[in-house]
Amino acid sequence: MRRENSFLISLAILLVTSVVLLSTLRVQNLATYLNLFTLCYFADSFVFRPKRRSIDFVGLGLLYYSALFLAIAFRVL
Amino acid sequence: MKIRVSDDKVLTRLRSREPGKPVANARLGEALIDIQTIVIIGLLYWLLTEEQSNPFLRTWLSDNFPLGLYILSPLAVAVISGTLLVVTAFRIGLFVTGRSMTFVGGEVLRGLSGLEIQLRKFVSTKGTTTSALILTSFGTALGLYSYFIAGIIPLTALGISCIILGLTALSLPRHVRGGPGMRAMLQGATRGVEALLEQGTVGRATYLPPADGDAIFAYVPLTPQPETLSIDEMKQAPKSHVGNNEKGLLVHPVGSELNRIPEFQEALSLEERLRYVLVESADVCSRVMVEETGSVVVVAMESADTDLQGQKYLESLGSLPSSLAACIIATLHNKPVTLLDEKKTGNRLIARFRLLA
Repeated sequence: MRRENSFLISLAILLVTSVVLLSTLRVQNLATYLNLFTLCYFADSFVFRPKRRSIDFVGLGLLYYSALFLAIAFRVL
Repeated sequence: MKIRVSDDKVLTRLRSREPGKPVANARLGEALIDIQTIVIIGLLYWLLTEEQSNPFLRTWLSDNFPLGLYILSPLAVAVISGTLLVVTAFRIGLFVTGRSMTFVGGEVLRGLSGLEIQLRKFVSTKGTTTSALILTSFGTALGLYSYFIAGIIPLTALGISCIILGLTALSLPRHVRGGPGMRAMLQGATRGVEALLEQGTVGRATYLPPADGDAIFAYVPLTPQPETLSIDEMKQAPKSHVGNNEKGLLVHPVGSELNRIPEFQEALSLEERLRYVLVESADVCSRVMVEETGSVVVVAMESADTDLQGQKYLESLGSLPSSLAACIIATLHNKPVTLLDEKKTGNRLIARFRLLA
């Protein structure tokens, strides 16, 4: 199987598992979900190392919003 | 002044003056629409101040019309009022200058068709891209609905995960890349040309664009000093050694069939085509950047593999990544192309091409 396909499939599984897991734990904070998504995304990228058409704008966006939410949570901003 | 009814010119003038009343009606209609806009903005502002000062209204809205709370937030009111004001100003501008909406519509349509070309350049394959776009749109709709209307956070997170997956699928390459197998085949493909050029001295090749669905050829001068030949003379050069007095040879470079790629029939830019072939298909470099200034095209290729071809191929047609790039440039511009020079600076190979008239 293509490395990119494996990356996408495993990312889908990881994201759905994260949603199911956090909703089971009755987490109502969207920032927690987003941070876990970011973690899953970068872990998956690290394992599969897919080649991209352009810069990793999804990763950059996730990193930006995670950092923003963390900064708000820890009252840095 | 009396108007002669029998005179055709006068009749025409008379008819052109007839719609005096409709102009007044149009003015009245325009004024009514503008007044409506002002009334709507005033109402919105009044509702906003009322909602902020009247707790009963807020309670009623949250019980009966929760969406109203979002619409009556200061930001939403500012956005709606701003949009209405811009539209009204635009309409007044059109009315005063006398330009019709048809003209503006045409301009907008032209702009949209340009946008469509840009979008097609970005999303140039159907299957995966369509699925990714559908997934992203679905995720956006689900996220917005579940956050603003239903208020279910896990569902919102599911929407966001759909958006992440869709955008990730869009950012991945579209085709299976080469790898060692492709590398070996490319290396083998250069051997034929290498054997053909092995016998004598060779000069810089000129890549000839495909004519009538034919393949891309490269004219290789067999003299060190280049002679000034016309394109037609180049096209009539022999394709193999027939004697010792040939001035040049026509050879099939490795990228001679690149003009037959179905995706190249679409409106893809040069950079997109180069990325498609060099990065996504042949995997001979990891990134491509293009700059075109007049008749000179500069292509920068990161991590380019320049060890695939033999010495004669390199001397005449350039390194394999540059040779493939030259074929693509010749096809896109439909002009002969010659490689001026190539320079390796660190990890980057910079090749300069000239388009010949």
